[in-house]
Amino acid sequence: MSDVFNIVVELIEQVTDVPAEEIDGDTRFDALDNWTSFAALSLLTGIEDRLGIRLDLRGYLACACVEQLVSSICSDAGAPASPARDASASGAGIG
Amino acid sequence: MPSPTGAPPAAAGDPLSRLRSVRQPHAPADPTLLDALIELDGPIARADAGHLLARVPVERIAPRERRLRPLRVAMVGTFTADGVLPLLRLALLQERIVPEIKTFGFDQLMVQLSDPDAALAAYAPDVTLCQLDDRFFLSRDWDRAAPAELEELLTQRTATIESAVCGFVARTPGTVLLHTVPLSPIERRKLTGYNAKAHLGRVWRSLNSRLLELPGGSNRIHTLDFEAALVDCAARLRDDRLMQFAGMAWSPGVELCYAHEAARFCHAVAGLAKKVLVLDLDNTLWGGILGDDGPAGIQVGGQYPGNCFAELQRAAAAWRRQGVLLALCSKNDPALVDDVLDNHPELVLRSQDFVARAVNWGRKDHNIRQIAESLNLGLDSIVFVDDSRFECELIRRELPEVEVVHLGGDPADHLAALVDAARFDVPTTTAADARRTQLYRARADRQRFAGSFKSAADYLGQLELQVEIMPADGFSLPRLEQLRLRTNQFNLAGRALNDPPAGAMTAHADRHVLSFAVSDRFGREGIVGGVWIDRRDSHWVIENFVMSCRVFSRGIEQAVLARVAGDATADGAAWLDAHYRPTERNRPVETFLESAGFVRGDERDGVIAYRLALKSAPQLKPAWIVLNEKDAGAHV
Repeated sequence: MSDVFNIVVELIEQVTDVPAEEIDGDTRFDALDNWTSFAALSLLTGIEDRLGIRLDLRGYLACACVEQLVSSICSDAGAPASPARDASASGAGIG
Repeated sequence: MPSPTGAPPAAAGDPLSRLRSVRQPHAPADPTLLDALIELDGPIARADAGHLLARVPVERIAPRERRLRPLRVAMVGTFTADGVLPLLRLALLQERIVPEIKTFGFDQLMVQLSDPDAALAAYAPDVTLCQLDDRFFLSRDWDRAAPAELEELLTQRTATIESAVCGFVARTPGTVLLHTVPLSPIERRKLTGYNAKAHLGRVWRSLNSRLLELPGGSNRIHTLDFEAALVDCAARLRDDRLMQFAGMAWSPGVELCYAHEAARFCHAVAGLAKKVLVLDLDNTLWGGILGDDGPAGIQVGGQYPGNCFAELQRAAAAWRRQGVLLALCSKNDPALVDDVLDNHPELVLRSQDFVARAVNWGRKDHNIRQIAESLNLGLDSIVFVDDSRFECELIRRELPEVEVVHLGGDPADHLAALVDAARFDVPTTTAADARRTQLYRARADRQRFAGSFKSAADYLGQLELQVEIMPADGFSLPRLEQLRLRTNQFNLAGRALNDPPAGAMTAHADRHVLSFAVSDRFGREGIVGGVWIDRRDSHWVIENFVMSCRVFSRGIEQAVLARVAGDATADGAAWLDAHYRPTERNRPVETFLESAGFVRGDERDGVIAYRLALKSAPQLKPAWIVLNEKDAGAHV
């Protein structure tokens, strides 16, 4: 769990240049500096490359904060995220 | 270990951590970092580095001697290719270009090329990279049942691009790079008939053919055959999620391939093409060691692995015909090399293919400098190829402007490694290129290069060279025997086959045999030589001294002799004799004896007596070598 969290935070730092110390589980993606749809996709491909998994874009986009994304990665353990998760449900998601 | 001098110590850590550190204000410069970034593999890590590099002045991460060329690059496409930008920045820096890169947004290609008042024209790029995708050419609803319509559609689209590109080039001074367009495999699979699939393939190839023909005679419009380059790319063309969500037509792996190809093109356009290929001989142009294996024993032509070396020679010959100058830089006997170049039936390259030949026992950095001077070309126009890590590192360190290609491992992989690394690409070749070798030969023909033996002490100091000397035993004797029989060049007794084998000598109480092994920071070379000694009452006689030519010019023989001289002095000997039997090939031994202070005496039966008075013997062991004292005085 914490390994995945650390990797996600490190990758967020890479794509946004926001220092890792300023990122915690509650950090919302849409509140990050330099957060663009391109940054979101760079984070997606970075996570997939690093963890050797493939994420469902809908589930990924539905995650509003770091903790939600980490839980989603951990619960799916590399399987596609649940299609039941609806990107429109949480509205404020990535992108 | 002597403390390293000269070059700064290599920074610790992986390249990305080093890049993050060097970004900090007041962090010390890290001049080996740019070259270390080459280790980064895959689009994700390289994109990360490319992002970080946007805010690091290049002077802080490149060697001071490295001359980098500024270049203004524009990227404009029919889709979102933003992912290419960081990859391109890193690739360009590695091509010795400091880029200023600007992208012009999604689907801006036609607008930016056509409108004289558009931002692209105002930016005035040196190179405009145009990225095209298949969806630009295919209308969404093209009728798959009406193939003629598709052909018509593609022709129209190509004509539109052609007029936009030609108009842009007429108005602006820079160069434009187009590329052939890969077709998504989904399009082919949508068609059910194999006749229809074949037709689509043919029509698509004619689109790409038209793009390849588009430059016409212009030297400012070029088309990269990107479809062909993707043959070796492991990535899928497209990640459909990225396509549908953000209009990205290329997967990160394909973006990486494009960045590499585009950077190579920019290298050519910036006039940075290399002009000279400097080749080593043994285990580079042929397999084996000429001095030891003889002209008939080297591997070239015929079957594996000789065919691999012949293939590499063919590539060099093809480059020569396209204007690249070839030169030799090899530690070898020049007469023997001449013999092979003139007479070996399987050789592809011959004497007349080379504009300069530095075949001697001197330092390769000095030789390469002389080659550059004799051709009146800069060191930054040279590519140096060698199988020896020692030589490659020496050149990287002493001549950082030279591009170094190390050929290691299976000879079957050498050619691909060389064509991938060597940067001879130019925008356009001309008929004059084919005559260049002839012109330069007239200038520098037959120039022989006097080898310099002055050691590269500061480089050697960083190699962590260790010499371990030990009495020969049951494990080392077979290897010593093999070395004694195989070694032609550094062999005091001149490889006499009927000499008693090393094992027999050790049976006498007054005779002993030492073996020596070498290791450095690249690894262990293992046992590389031996000394055969006969102890007399007043002096010691070196009956033979053999060393593999792989470790020449590192001061190892001096260190071993220092040890022998020390042991002899401790044993009460007043002098050392060395019985040198000259042959056609073992001149290096004579040079060594004389440089070590031995005085030449009489010759009898083909053997010259050399003598070194131990009282006045000079300090022999070089400072950069650590001698491992492994009970070398004990006799077997």
